[in-house]
Order: sequence, then C-alpha cells, then structure tokens
Amino acid sequence: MASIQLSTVAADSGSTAKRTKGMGVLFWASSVWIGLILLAAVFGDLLPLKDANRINPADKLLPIFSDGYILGTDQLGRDILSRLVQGAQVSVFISVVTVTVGILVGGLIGTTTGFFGGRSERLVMAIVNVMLSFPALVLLLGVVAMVGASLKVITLVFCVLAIPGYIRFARASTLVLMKREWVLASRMIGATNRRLILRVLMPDVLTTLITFGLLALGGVIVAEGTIAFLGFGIPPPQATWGSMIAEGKSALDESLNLALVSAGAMFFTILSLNLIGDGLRRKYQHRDAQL
Amino acid sequence: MPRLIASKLVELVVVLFVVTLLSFLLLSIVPGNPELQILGENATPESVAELREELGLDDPLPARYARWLGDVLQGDLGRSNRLNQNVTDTLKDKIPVTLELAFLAIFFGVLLAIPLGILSAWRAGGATDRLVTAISFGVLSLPSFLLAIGLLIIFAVQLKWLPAAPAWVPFTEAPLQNLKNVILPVSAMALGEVAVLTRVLRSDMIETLQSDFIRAARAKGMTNRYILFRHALPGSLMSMLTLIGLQVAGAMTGALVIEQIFGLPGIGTMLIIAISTRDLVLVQGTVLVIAASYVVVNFVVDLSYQLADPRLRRG
Repeated sequence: MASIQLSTVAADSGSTAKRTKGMGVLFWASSVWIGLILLAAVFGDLLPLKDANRINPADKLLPIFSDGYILGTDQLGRDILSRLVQGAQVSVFISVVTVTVGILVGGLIGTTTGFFGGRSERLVMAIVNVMLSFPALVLLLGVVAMVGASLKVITLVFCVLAIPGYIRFARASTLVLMKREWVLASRMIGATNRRLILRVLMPDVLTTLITFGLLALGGVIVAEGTIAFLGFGIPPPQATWGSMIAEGKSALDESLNLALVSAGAMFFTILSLNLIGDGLRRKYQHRDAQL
Repeated sequence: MPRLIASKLVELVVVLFVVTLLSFLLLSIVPGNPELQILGENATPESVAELREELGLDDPLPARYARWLGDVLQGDLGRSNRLNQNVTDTLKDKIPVTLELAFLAIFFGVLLAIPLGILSAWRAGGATDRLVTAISFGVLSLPSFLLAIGLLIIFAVQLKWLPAAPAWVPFTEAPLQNLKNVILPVSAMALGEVAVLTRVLRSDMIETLQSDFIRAARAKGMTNRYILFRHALPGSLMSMLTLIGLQVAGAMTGALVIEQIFGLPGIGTMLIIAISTRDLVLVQGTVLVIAASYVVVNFVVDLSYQLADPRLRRG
C-alpha cells in the first residue's frame, strides 16, 4: 500500500482546473460500492438470502442469473451471493478492527513517544523498526501454522502487525505539530502534558492517520484474502472472499463463474477504497495548499 | 561513512537476532505437545522420549535457543521427520526456483516501466499518459493472486497458449521450456511491479522536466531524445531505484503465493505444504530462511541507497 502514497504528487500540481470540478463520478461510484459492501456486512444476517452453507448437489456450478441464484452457485451448490455476503462480513470485520486498533493504539503510542522524546522514544522506535523490517506474510503464516487459524487469531496477529506503521506515522506528525502555534500557545498557558497529548495533538494526528488508514483497509483485505486463498484462513464452512477465489480457481475447468464473481468482488472493493483514498488525498492536499 | 555502516550493521544484527528468536519461539507456541505433532499421533513413548532428548525439550528455553542458534549458524536447520531429510538440503533444492521468479519479475518490471514512465511523463496529461495512469491504478488494485488467476483464465483456460500447471524443468536443463513455463507466473508478479515503478518514475520525471537545467538544455537546442535519455532520465531514477530494492525483498514473499497457484516447486510451495502437513521443523527452518534473507536484502538496499545519495547520510 505504501507504494500508492508515493505516487503522483508532482503529477497533480499542474491540473488545478480539474480539481475544482469536485470529486468526480468515480469517487461517488466507489463510495456507493463501499456503502453496499458495508450494508451487506452489517445487515447480512437480516437479508432474505439463502443459507450460505446449505449444500445442494443438484444445483452445483450454476452460471450467473440462474433461476433462484442471482450470482450462481459453487461446486457444492451453495448460493454465491449469500457466500459473498458472508465473506464481506469477514473482510469488513478484520479490516475495520485492524485499522481502528492501529489508528488508536498506534496513534496514542506514537503521539506520546513523539511528545516526550528521549530514551523511551528511541526504544519504541527501535522496536518499531525491527517489526517493520519483518516479512509480515511469512510471520503470519508461521503463527497460523503453529496456533491454527480462527477469526480471533488472525485479527489479533493483523493488529499486532499493523500497529508499528501507525506509531511511526503518528510520531512523525507529532514532531511537526509540536512546532505549530496553537500547540505552543496551549503549552504557554499551562496545559498539562495529558491535555496536550489527548486534546491538542491527538485530534490532528488522528486526522492524518485516518487518511492513511483508508488506504490500509484495502491492504488488510488483500492480506486476509491471500491467507484464505492459500487455505490458512478461517476454516470452512465459513465463506471468505479468499477461500471462494481458491475454490473458483480449482473449478476453472468446469466454470469460470465462481472465480470471476468472487475475484470481481474483491477487486472492485480494493479499487473503490483506492479511488476514495486518492480522491480524499487530493482534496485534502488542495485545502492544505490554500492555507 | 564507517560510522554509518557500523550503526547499520548493529541494526542488522539486532533484527537478525529477533528473527532467529521469533523463528525459534514458533515451535514453542504450538498448543499441546510439539513432539506428538512432529511424530504423529501413533508415536511410541520411546520415540517421543528420544525426540524430546534430541530437541532438548527438557532443558530450559534459553539453553535450547542457544543450542539451536549454534546449529543454525553452522547451517543445520534440523531434520524434517515427514520428508526424512535435512531441512537445509530440502531448502537448497527449492531456493533457485523462487529466486528465478523474483529475479525475472523485477527484471521485466523495470524493463517495461522505464519506457512507460518516460512516455507518460513526456506528454503528461495527454491521452497516452491518462491511459497508462488509469491502467496502472487498476493493476495496483489487483492483488497478485487475482492477477495470476486472471492470466490463468485468459491464457491457459480460454486460449490454451500456455500450461496452467507446468511440470518444472530447471533452466540449466531446458532453458526454453523453463522460460515458457514461467511466463504466466512471472507476468503475474511483474505487472504489479510495472504499475508501481511506472507511477514513481512518471512523477519524478515530470518534476525533473520542469527544472532549470532541462530548460537550459532545450534553449541550447538539444534534441528531445538527448534531453530525455541523457539529462532527464538519470536525474529521475532515484526513487525508482529505492523502490526496486524494496520490491526485491517483496518479490521473494510475493513468490510464495504465485508458486502455489502455478504449482512451481519453490520455497513458497514448500512452506505451504509444510504448514498443511504440520511439518513443524520444516516450517521453522523455512520461515527463518525467508525472513532472514528478506532482512538482509533490505539491509543491502538501504545501505547502498544511502551511500549513493549523500543527502541521506546525515539523517
């Protein structure tokens, strides 16, 4: 995900005219798609859908728009739409929890260490650097191999892996913010350290982290999808997008439908998150430049 | 300069120490009895006792770690009971496959990204630029395993041009066959690289093309081609080179997934088989080797980058 942020900063500088047009069709289309995914995940259990785990040997590998199965069925005759909704619940849960925990815990640790500085800062940053120089996927696979996969284990490991990045980010913005006038002013009128960290610095740090977090959501969905695709995600019969894509891949010779639909769901979700993040970043940068 | 290298080396040693510690601890977080997991449910009490003795499970943790680390440093990663083979020997067979994939992916990634980046920066905002930018944005939203499946569907299932699950032949035995077999996996890995690198090169190029020395070169009447390749390109390569370094380390873990999809016998496929069969010693050794090489590659890249750019040395 970091690569996306590196890009196009210079490229935007020339097109002021374009920016004033508002957020554009793609941005709103993406927002609608993400809204749908969120609604499906939150209210999935209330929707009048077929049981996602009911096996139906007579109806296996039906194509899209089949009678009774809008998106078709998988090898076991299970309804793809219901399973996509079930998978969306997993993706949304893991990504939202991971990013929220990352923002809050990482934000608090990063702001505090940046604020106080000194030896504790050096220690925390050393730990952060060590953690960031690890290949996360391998570590995750290792833990899953040893402990066994479940929603809890995977979410926990994701959170632990996510926090260092946010610490580094929060510390960097704290160091910048500490030189700004309103922070200096609060200091001068005698605000306590606690107040400075929680009420003066944190709100601003969190705003920066949220933009970063939006882009990170897609990264978490991909990571969870990869784990599930490799067969080490939440065990069956629970549907996840990654496991559906893996099932679709093994059914490629008989039907493309399952692979295309499940891969499409994941692709459009990540694309939408990237487009929203990109749109917000442009707007945000624009406002910053005007100040 | 020596101080920089020294402090970086200390950092490397610390990270490597943590890598070995975590890999070691992997075996100790296994719930239940690791010896039963290693030997299987039908283990006799004698063989369990023998294995406990061999692994030194009755010793305190630090002592076990010290002995294990001593073995690792001598190239002994333990023995896989399921394969009945030394982990080191097993890995030696698999590493070349993964390295070939990673190397080819980076190579073709760079090869395509340079012309695409130049092309879209040259007429920034034009039709070609918008097309390249839109496509690379789309590709960036495709995780490599989705790309791999897309390529499989198009070239192996629909067009039947290339094999979906090729039998592996080493490059040294049949170079052409080997290359034909890795076209799809390498493309799946390289396309993502192309997208990232093109975007970075493009934005750096746009910045360089606006600088004064380019204007001066234009004023002197130099040809466009000369300006682009001799002046603008070398000045715009820095971010791309850094990123290539990061991608080298990333490509090694990226190969894990891609190998599995195409059934190539690399280190990733082996890790996945080891996890599925709960071959814990093999998992431990593989995780250690992948993580350590990742860290070392990152270290080399980081250091050479800092040596190349004097501005960074102070930081």
